[in-house]
Amino acid sequence: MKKNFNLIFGLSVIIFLFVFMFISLFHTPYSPTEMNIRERMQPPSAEHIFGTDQFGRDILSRVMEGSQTAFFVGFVAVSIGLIFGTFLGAVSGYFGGITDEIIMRIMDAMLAFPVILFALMFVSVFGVGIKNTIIAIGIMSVPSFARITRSGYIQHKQFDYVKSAKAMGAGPLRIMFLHILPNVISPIIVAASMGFSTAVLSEAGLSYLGLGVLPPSPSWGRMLNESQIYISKAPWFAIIPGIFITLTVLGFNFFGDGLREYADNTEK
Amino acid sequence: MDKYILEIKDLKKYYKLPRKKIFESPKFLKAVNGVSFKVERGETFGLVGESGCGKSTVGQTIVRLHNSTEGNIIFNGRDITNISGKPLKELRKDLQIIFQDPYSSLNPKKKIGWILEEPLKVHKISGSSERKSRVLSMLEKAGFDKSFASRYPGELSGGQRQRIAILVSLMLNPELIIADEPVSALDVSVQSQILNLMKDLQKDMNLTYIFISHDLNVIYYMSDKIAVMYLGEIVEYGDSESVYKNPKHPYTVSLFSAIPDLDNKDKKRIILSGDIPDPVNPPQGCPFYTRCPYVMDKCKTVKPESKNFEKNHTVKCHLY
Amino acid sequence: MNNLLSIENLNIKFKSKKTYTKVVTDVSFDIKKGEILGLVGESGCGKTITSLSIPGLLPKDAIVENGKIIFDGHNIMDFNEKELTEIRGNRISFIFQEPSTSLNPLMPVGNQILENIVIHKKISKEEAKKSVISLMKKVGLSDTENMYKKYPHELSGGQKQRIVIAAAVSCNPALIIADEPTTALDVTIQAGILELLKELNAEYGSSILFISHDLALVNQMCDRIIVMYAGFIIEFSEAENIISSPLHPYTNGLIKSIPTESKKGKKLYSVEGRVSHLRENEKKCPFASRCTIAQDICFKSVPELRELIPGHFVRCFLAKGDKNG
Repeated sequence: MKKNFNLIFGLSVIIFLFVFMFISLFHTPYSPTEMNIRERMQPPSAEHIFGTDQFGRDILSRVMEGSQTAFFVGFVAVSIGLIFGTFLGAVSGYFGGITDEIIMRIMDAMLAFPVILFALMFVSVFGVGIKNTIIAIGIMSVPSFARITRSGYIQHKQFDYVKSAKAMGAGPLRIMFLHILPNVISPIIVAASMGFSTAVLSEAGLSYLGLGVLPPSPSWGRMLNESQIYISKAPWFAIIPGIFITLTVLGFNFFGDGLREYADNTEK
Repeated sequence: MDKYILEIKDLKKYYKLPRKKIFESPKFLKAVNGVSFKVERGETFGLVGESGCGKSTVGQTIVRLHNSTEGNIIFNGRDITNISGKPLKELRKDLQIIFQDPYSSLNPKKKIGWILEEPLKVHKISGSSERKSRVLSMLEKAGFDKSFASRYPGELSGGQRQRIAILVSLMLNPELIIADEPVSALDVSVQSQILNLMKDLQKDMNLTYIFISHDLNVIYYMSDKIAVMYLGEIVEYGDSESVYKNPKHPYTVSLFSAIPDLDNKDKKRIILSGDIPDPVNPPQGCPFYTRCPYVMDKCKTVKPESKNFEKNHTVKCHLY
Repeated sequence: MNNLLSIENLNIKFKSKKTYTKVVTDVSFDIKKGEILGLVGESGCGKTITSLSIPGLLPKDAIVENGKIIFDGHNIMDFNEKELTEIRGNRISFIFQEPSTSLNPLMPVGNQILENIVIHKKISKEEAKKSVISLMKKVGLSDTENMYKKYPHELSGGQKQRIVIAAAVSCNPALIIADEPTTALDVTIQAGILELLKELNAEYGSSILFISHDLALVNQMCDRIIVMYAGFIIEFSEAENIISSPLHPYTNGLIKSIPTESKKGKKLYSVEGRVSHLRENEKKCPFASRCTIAQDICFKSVPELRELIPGHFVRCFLAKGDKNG
């Protein structure tokens, strides 16, 4: 069997980022929020590996702290999408008919709405902050999970094992979540991995627009925003958070692709 | 107790087809078009016919996987045509079904032990350890080693899977089992294992079977009664000896003649012209008249009534 | 020369994980001109792979170790892709099991027959179309002008298989390979298709390699029968000999396990266990693990196919010529 490059690469990147985030929970080289005007906009050096920003804060420490935000946002937003999306998709696909019509038309309407635009509206109504950002991103990822789940259910509900469960007297919830779900879970997990990177990207985008995470807590998107006026004087200030955003997105996308490959291979 | 475990009266199952034009009146696919029969306790009732004749729909309607359009299903003296909720769930214990394709009827992501235990869990029968020992004793009954409980269906051969599927249907000690083409997806050398097992279990557990198949040799081997279906109707019914050795309906005659037979290589074959008519627009009169070699004018307009031959052999045909 | 096709010592293996699985081992047989030869066996016995190897249609991961396929005096194994293309559909044609997937769903059925004629014969479209219509009549289709323009989904299974057969015989092939041609069809439709194949065989003199899992069906169609098991030919003789006095324990068990009129009320015989293919360099009888009469020798070396009774070949150490296996 060929080595699954996507899976290995994606997983290594994710593990690296996770370790990075995990260390930051206990230790960062400097305080990510402590300002030091004398050391502002230092280029990378032995003291500050990634340099410092306009207030003299250590960029490595801020990127480390920012990874917490990214993981938190990604994890919670994906969970919201996963739980509600899978449930709605399962109900829609299993029951079909008018239930399906209603749920899926709502999902279509949501899919037609740009994520950023919805988040903007959501945040302007409910207030700026990390909680509302996460909820907004989570809600917008519900439709894609619902679609994927639904198609799995439509395929599987025709199989005889489902009819057999019905004939033995199992109720719809039991059939949906105990019998069918394990069979349709793998594409959902792949979607979750991809959804993670989308969520991180959305958070960065919102924070860049000043609508996500509030200062002074660091976020990669906010760092990008703050760096832009200094881009010619201190390019590392923009490049470092950019690299981390890219790495996270790539890592989870590769991991998702790798998982799909893995699932395809084992199912044969 | 009643002699008959099941009685079907004028069962109809129509499927509504999606409209092609907005103002069209909806069309119906007449999968089962007025079927009546009685099944005696402890016997095997064979239902034979070609694809699309409605035999599987009859089976699935009896176990209430579909609701019938018209007619009555009477099980153990009780009309079960329209029951639902708790009584239906209770009924499921007595009425089980085995499907054709063992590759689709066992959940691929669950272990055999889980699959066998599930019916007991659904009906909250006894405690966990008792359920587990019941699963193991059932496995042994069908000649499996205990270790099979922790295997996945993917690790089993087709014949083994079908044996497991049979055991699943037996976990709740049912009285009546609908076997819907249980051996059609299997190799010949495996078929015989399944047929033998079904016969043994029937004796062991006092089961009544409705055995559905397109294979006449298998039907004859298994059944006490044979009903021949064509286009949603039973065209001939009787004791299996009488139907097999002395078929009356022209369709039955040609169906039997078309089957390749090991014992008799050069038997005379009656080859029917044309195809089975569209069940959306079944012919008026006799459903078989479009392909019948003996068609008369009367057949095209008047639906034939059941006629009795001997004591237990009825035919729907104008020839008699 | 009497033989149209001779296969000599064909060996095909597939790579699986670490070792090789032999799917076809030491297969040799001839097809005479104008004969219908039956190839029978259960799923996974190698009958389809054998048939696909004849016109070079094996899947890419199949490895042909050695063997010759002599068709009309030439070893096809040596042919290049262009030469093979000329033979396929023209001299050797295929009828597959599933008529609904062997036809192109987006092409009118008439054109699909036409296609085969136009590729191989240099005749005008008009002429070709005329011959398509007459072919369609020949295979028992009515209202041919209308049906010519229909798409596969508008036809029934039996009609589709007739179209496939019309395409298969359109270039008057020397050999038709029919791989389970009626398995997807109903019995009453099957009877018509079988009759048609027999008629075409008699009329055009094409040889037919008739492949099926159904012993009774093969018996009805063929003069000689090859029984395959786990990639080996285990028995080969006239149909009558195979059915009435099988020599190999597997053939014997197979026949005893088929329910027939005379077996009603008796327990059916069953061949226990499941097919396992030999790994490379494994030396034993492929059937030994399921065989009720197996002895030490059966687990130590591979039996040869031997002519036990004149005209009746069997691959078994223990078979005796005087009575049933």
